[in-house]
Amino acid sequence: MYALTRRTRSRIESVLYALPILLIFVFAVAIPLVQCFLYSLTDWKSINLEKNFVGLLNYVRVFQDSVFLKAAKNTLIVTFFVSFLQNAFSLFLATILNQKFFRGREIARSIIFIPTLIATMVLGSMWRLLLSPVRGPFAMLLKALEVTNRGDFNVLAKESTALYAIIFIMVWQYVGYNMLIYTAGLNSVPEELYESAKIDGAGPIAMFFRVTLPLIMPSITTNMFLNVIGCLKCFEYVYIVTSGGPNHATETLATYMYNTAFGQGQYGYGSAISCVLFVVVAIVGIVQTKVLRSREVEM
Amino acid sequence: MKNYPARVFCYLVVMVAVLVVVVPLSLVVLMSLSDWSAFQKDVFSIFETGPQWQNFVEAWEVGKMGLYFKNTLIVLVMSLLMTNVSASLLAYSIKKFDTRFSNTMYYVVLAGMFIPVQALMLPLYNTMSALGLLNTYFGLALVYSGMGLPMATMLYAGFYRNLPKELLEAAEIDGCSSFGAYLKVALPLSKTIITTVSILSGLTIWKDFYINIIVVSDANMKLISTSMLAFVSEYTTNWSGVCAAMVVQSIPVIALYLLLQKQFVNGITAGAVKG
Repeated sequence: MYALTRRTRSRIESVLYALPILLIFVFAVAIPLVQCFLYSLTDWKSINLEKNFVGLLNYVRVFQDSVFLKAAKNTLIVTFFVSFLQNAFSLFLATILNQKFFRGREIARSIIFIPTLIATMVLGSMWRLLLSPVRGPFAMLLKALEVTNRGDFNVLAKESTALYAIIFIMVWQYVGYNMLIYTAGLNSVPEELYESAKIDGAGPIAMFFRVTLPLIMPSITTNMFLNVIGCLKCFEYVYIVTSGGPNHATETLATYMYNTAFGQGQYGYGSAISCVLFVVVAIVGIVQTKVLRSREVEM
Repeated sequence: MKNYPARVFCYLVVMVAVLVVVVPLSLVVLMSLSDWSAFQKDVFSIFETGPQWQNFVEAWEVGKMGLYFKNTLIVLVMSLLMTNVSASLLAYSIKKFDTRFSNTMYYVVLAGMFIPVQALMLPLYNTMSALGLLNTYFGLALVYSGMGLPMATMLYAGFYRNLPKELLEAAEIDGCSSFGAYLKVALPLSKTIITTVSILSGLTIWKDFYINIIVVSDANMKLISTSMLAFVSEYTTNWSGVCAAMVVQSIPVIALYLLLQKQFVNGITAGAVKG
């Protein structure tokens, strides 16, 4: 080793240091990703063992598939509503809980944060049970109050409401997460700015829009992008609570991919849907990094 | 703010928010302690029958929760070890050697952040099957590490970048090899990053659902997070037992959060700010 020049030695050593991460990355990420693309170019189905190369046929099919388009539309609806509602609620709550007069804010913050910690499977099953028209407590309560008959309260089985129930559940779980990030953002605003705004005669609402909001812009972009990317990939709640039904009313791109590949055994076509999803998320992700970078320069 | 109506409004808003969170969760706790058929007739049947602790006994036994907790713990430890070691080694080599290879590797790993795990489900199954890693702890830990690496590498690299180079050089003058400097200087200094990465990756594994259903089909190898999939079927007759299982598997993470609240908050905000 000592005969080598210093630079060569550094090079060899740096490869050795990168070896563990390289191995994990290759097996858990790189190989599957390449495979996914290769599968998407075939007509591989569970019923026939051989895969035939079909070129971009699956991709043509994707954009003519009415269920895919419905899933894409649902995904956009979820992304829009969840990102908007989650940020609005969490910023509102974080601002209130940051007021000095507020007693018990630590407890309130912890309670609102707790759903974030619980496994998705648990919360998904919980909501399915709570919203069940037959055995759910809410249906029982509505029956007891003689608002509806038992069985009529069925938000998860109605095409018009099922997707909004999913949106509610997602916002319900993650408001606490965004709130935490906003609280950190609010605490980073220098106290003197509020003092001087007060001297200038600004009321609390003007103070919020003129001082707070511009200064917590970094937290807003962070939260927005986290939510948007999370929603584009949204899978678990739909899978657990409604499985995409009724009549694909809650189908998202991720669940449609799963149902096509694993449910119907259309591996080739399912992989093509995966690749489309990947490209969409990657584009949003790259835009995110660009925005975050430009923001870092400004600060 | 001496404006009392506004203060009352603030308290009301927070109270509503807290109730919206607490009511569904306490309903689950209530159901877990009730006799299911009595609950169906009267929501507050618990006051007549008293708490039904046997639901918890049943959940623990039927749900094989002891086994699943053990599986989860093993996978958590393995995966956190792999994530922390591999990410910190790469980040250290960027700081120490700054070669083109280590920097390229860094950006390649970061790009992994954009990959939706769901897109990898089918090929992951095939890759793991080809490697003989289906239904193994190592297979699960490997995939979880792959998912956690982008964030971990970013946090470690950010931390080592600001580490004074003199510290590492001093260790080498004292006779340490570059690896010795990593073990004796860099690693002991990164305690906060180790905590942050472990909390963030640990939470992902704890809550994960899809990797688990892909890599594991053997009922004895499941993790606690998916153990309920078999439990929750349309034909379940004792939903109180299901609720008891939900309560039992949520207690550890909530307890850990209450104990390490500061670390959780710091970890999540650090993770979010970094991207």
